[in-house]
Amino acid sequence: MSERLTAAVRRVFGGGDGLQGLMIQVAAILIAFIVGAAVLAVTGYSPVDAYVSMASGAFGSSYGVGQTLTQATPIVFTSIAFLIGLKAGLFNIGIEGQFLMGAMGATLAGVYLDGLPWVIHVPLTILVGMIAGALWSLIPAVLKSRFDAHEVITTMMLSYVATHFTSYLVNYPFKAPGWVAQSLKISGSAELPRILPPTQLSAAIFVAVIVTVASTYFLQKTIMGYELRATGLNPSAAENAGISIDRNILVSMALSGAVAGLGGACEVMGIHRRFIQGFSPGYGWDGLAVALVGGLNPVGSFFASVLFGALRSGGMIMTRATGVPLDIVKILQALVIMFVAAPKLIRALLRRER
Amino acid sequence: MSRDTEKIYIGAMAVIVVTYLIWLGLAVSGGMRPAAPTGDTVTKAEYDALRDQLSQVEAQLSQVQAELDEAQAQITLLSKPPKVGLVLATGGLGDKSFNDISFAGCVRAQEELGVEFDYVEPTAIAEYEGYHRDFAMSGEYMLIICIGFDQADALATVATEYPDQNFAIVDMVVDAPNVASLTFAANEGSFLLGVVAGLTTETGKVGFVGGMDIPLIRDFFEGYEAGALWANPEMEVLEPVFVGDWGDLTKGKELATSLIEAGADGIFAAAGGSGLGALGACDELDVTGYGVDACQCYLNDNMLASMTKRVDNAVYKMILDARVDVFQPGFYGGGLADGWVGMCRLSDEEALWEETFDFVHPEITEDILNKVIEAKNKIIGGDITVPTGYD
Repeated sequence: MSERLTAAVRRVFGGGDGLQGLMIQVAAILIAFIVGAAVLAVTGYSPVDAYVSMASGAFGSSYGVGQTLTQATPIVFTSIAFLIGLKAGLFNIGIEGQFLMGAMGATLAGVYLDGLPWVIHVPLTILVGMIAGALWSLIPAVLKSRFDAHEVITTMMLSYVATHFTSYLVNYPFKAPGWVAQSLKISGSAELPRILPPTQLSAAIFVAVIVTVASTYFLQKTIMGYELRATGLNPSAAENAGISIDRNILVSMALSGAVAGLGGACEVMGIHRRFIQGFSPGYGWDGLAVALVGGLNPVGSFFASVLFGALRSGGMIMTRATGVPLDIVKILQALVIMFVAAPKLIRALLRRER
Repeated sequence: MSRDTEKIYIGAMAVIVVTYLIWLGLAVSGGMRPAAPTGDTVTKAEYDALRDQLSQVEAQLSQVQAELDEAQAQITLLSKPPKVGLVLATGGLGDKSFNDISFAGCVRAQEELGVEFDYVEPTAIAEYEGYHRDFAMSGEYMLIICIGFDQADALATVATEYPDQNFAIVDMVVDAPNVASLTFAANEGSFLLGVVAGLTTETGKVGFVGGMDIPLIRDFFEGYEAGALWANPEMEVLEPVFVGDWGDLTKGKELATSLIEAGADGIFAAAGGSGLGALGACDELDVTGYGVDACQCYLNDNMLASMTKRVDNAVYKMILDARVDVFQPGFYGGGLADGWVGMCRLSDEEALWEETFDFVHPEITEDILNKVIEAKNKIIGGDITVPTGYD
């Protein structure tokens, strides 16, 4: 079941070969924007005004660029987390839960491991976040390798468990005094510095770049990465070749969860400096879509994240300046995914043109 | 075409071509150059003086032009209506409560005061800071209004970054020199609701479902309890219960059901979205429900009255102050006397709510209303001191 799903997703979203694949992705995005313009026009807004204010909001100033990258950062982590799982043939759609657990782990380490110098505190906080994310994703991994429980079900359900569990923690045991359901602030020695004030862009963006490069290297150049990909492409062949399927399930899920947890940790350490209930507007879920839009490779995911980040940050400016509801951003995201999911169609159209 | 005409045409063409060639030749060889000036010569000194004069005039002209541009820019700026920014709470528009009422206040200001307003609907607490900064950075807004206590942290940060920008926050105190903090004496409005509950209960017991066990929500309960006991000293107000969440309808319903099972035949729900669950339970089990913040009586037929927080009046007052340039940052606490809290069955409100939500309230007796008005007047006059949830 899982192999067939993977193969189908690969066929539909794989992006295709080289330049043509890239062009098709770009064409899909353009078409999505054109359809989005039609939606705007039909609902009585000026598409030109909306897009101009969105584009100038997202890229027109250093503030805009900073906010775009701020919004992109968490999605870089969640999309790469998703694709690491998918490369091994696992649909880890519980990224949101691992992201939140990572954020919670980092928050607790940031708040309660006080009095350390930052050179120790920052890496330690990041590490705790990664471990928290990895542990959370190991539950479905063990359930799968031991009992063959399908990871789509378990990861998704555990994601809701994580949402409510972290919400419980900041409502009761770790609640900061006051009315808002949030934790205490992490100590200054665990903060990632803001690099472009007054935007919220933090050094987390560098971590995101490192993760992009490292995961590309890992998947393409290391034996373990090769084994993961082999498992994903054809599990029985991989097993015949002496690759342990169970071990690879555990490894890829743990890595996937660790990257998601790292994303949550960076979000807390760089932006909010505490765990606020409901701080994630669905970064984990966005990650699934962005990985697909990015053609299922880390570098593509990075740029697709920037696109989605720009939609969000530009959308915030747009909604203030033009009164267009922010929901149009969700429509655009959905359209991008739909059209990227239809590269076969676009490819066929391109072929007919020739 | 006959041969003759053809000849005439060719001849004419030839003449034209030849004339043109001659003209070209003359022009190129310089035969058509203007003749050199003969008289009217000026000396070098005169020429320099004239040129200086010219450049002086030109400088003056460009200065006048610049002044004109500036004046025109100012005219455009002044003729544009002043703007207000509105950052709604995470529930967004359509909540038929807090956000919708705040929005109504801005719409009223737009109609009556000639201001414009832009609004945003954040979906998570984490988004507030970005919106606040975005509004403040644009420099277009004479006042930025933030709805809801959970915006306080973000506003405290941004307000210090933009000390020249005026802000107002609803339901919370932010101690900054450019922020007006608007709070509401919820206990006073809840007192009136308690009076209604006390006079209508048949079992002699009423209950309260709160969103979270925090002073803000305790304030509703204290007023409600005091009002009920003032109107009906024989009755019992059950211990308040708290959902611990603003959006958990299921738990709100469960808690309300437990109160009804304990004998309550009137439930006051001050719990945001969770309150809708509690009021739903009242409808199912056929006991009286009491709403909060806005008139919620349109929800079902078992709703008798709602305590209202007139955020619209508060927001309107702030915009008015800013419009006539007397905006003062600081602490504002509004009660019954200011028209900042009320009860939807009072004659000055009932029609407004029924029009807004397009429904009709169930019957209420004259005696009850008179008692409510008596309570209101006594609170305003200082004869009744309503206990608060803040101590």
